[in-house]
Amino acid sequence: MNKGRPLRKTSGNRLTAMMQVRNESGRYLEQVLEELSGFVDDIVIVDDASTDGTARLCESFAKVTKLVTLEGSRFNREWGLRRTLWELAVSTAPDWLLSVDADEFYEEEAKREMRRLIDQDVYDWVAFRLYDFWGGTTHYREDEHWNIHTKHTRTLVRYLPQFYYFTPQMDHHVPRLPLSYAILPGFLTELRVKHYGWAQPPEALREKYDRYMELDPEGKWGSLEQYASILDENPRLVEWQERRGLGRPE
Amino acid sequence: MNYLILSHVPWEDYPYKRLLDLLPERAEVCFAGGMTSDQQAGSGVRPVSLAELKTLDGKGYTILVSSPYWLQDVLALKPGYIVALLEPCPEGEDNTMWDKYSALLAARADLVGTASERLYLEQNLYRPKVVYLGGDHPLSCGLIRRGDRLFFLTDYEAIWTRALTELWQPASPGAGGWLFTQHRLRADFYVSMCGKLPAQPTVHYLAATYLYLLGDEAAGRYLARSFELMLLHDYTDCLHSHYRFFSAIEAKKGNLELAVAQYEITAFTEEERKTAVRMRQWLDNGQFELLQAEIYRVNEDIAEAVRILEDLSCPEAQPLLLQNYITSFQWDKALQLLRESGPSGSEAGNIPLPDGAVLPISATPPASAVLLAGTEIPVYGGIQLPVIEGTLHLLHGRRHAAIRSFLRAAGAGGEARTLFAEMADLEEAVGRLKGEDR
Repeated sequence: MNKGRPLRKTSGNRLTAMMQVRNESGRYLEQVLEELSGFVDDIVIVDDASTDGTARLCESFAKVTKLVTLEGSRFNREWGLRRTLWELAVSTAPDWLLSVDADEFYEEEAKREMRRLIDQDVYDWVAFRLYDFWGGTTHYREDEHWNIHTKHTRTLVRYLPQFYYFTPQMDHHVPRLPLSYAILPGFLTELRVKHYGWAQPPEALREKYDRYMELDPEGKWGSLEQYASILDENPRLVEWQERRGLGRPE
Repeated sequence: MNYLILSHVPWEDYPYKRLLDLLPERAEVCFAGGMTSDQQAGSGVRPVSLAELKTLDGKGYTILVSSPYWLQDVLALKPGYIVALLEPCPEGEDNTMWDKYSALLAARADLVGTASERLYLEQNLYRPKVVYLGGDHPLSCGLIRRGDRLFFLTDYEAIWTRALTELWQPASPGAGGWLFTQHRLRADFYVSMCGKLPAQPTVHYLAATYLYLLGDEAAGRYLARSFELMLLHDYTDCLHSHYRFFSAIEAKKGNLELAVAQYEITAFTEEERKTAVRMRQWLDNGQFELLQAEIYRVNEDIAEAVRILEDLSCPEAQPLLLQNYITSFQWDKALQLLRESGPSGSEAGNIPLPDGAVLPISATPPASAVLLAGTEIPVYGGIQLPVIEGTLHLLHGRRHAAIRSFLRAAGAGGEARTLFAEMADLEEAVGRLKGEDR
């Protein structure tokens, strides 16, 4: 099992990126995969029954070493989807896992620091600041309902083979990584991740709003106020500034 | 059997009066302190003064003691049996000192009883004979006739009488033990509570704990659910309290490789990592008993660790046993072990300590010489051996020897003022206890 090698390594760690995708054609997936290919060792993907050639796009990247395409969508049974992705990811015998959405980009500094973040034996997870870009890729949104960047989001975790991994069995809003990591020591970095999921024109935002309301009309899984704020005509936007030299663990 | 009650409160406030009615083979029952004639007539208990206490032949008595500040008198009396009735620290008493001397009292006791479930569980991890003086079983579990009075026994009262009886009439090895019976009752209670409170992590944790004490494999399932509920409630400070417990459960099941892996996950400090490396070496070398004992120790299950180590003769077992004795306040046994570890028992007259230090041993070792011979004073978990020795001197009434030991600890960088302050505090607490109008 672990004979002769420490549980936590300070060098030679293997990093696997894991993501779930669905009908990503014409969005950011290709760019995300190009960027990931530059700093991870493997990419594993669960394709949630795409019908638009997403799987072919994934297969075109050499670092996509595992790809599972589901026959029917599990979007409404998110826990099962997360579990399938987790099992696929750990089957690559990774040392670290990076959970990425098909519209998330790690800033340059974060990509450069990635090896330093994982080649240490003090922390078992790393959390970044995620910024919701709005209406385009130059500004992020910051107001009462859109402020995820004021907190840290855990996306990079050490894989510990015998750890008890627990993910709540929910249909929606399932955490992207097992909750169990919360008990282990982690590093809160100031490195940033750009989330382009809302970097879309007003008509696309309206479609997203309609989809959310259809799926969750009573606000069972999320806040109705936040759903409504998707349609704000004048959201508070802040211009993104590139920066360097932050977020290194000691 | 004669019984002597050394109480933490005057007779009118004594909380164990009904248990006195149930004492097995009850002959004379004495209470140290004052009682009115009505109280004597109603209870069949005879008061004894402090002066008379000193003249009692302790051998003929079982002492029921419920304040740790009676410990010096208990040791002086050399009773037939000591039963420690542990109480949470009362208001107005120094918590640290109460807990320390309660632990020392429990370590000297032949049987420990407590109505506090927290103390009960703590004591179960320290020693094998502990009775919980509380219970939730709704049915009567026995009947005792005392003259013309009939007592229907609760579950814990039945266990109390059985545990006392077995002090002088040990049960046959094949008989189901009272300890097991009580663990089973508590486990059943908490398992049923899990059904009623399915989102309560503490109830699941307690079910897991009792199932673990029983050696029941279901412990892992309940711990897992407790862990999940902790996470769902965002109680994330549970790496040691909850997660590490998986390693003890796996060790008890004999899954030592998995037990080590679970411990490694929780090992972050330098000391924990060294322990993890040592565990893996023992695993690779097939030294399974040592490994199992160490996993129990890091899970604070000292009772299980000691049970294994006392049967081991390999040199590595001795320092581990010493460490466990000290942690569980079995300090007499610790010093005894050091005395027995003369030059013949260890290389070059040294005892290797688990943290890599070495304890030098005198060639002709009376108890104190063992400790005084070295130039360095070993420390276990913040406790210096001269402090242990001094404390025992104090408890046995050897005040000057205690002072010499404390001075020695102080000379080695310890805080003499702290030690003497504790000595004065203890004397004051003892004086307060005995000065109460009983």
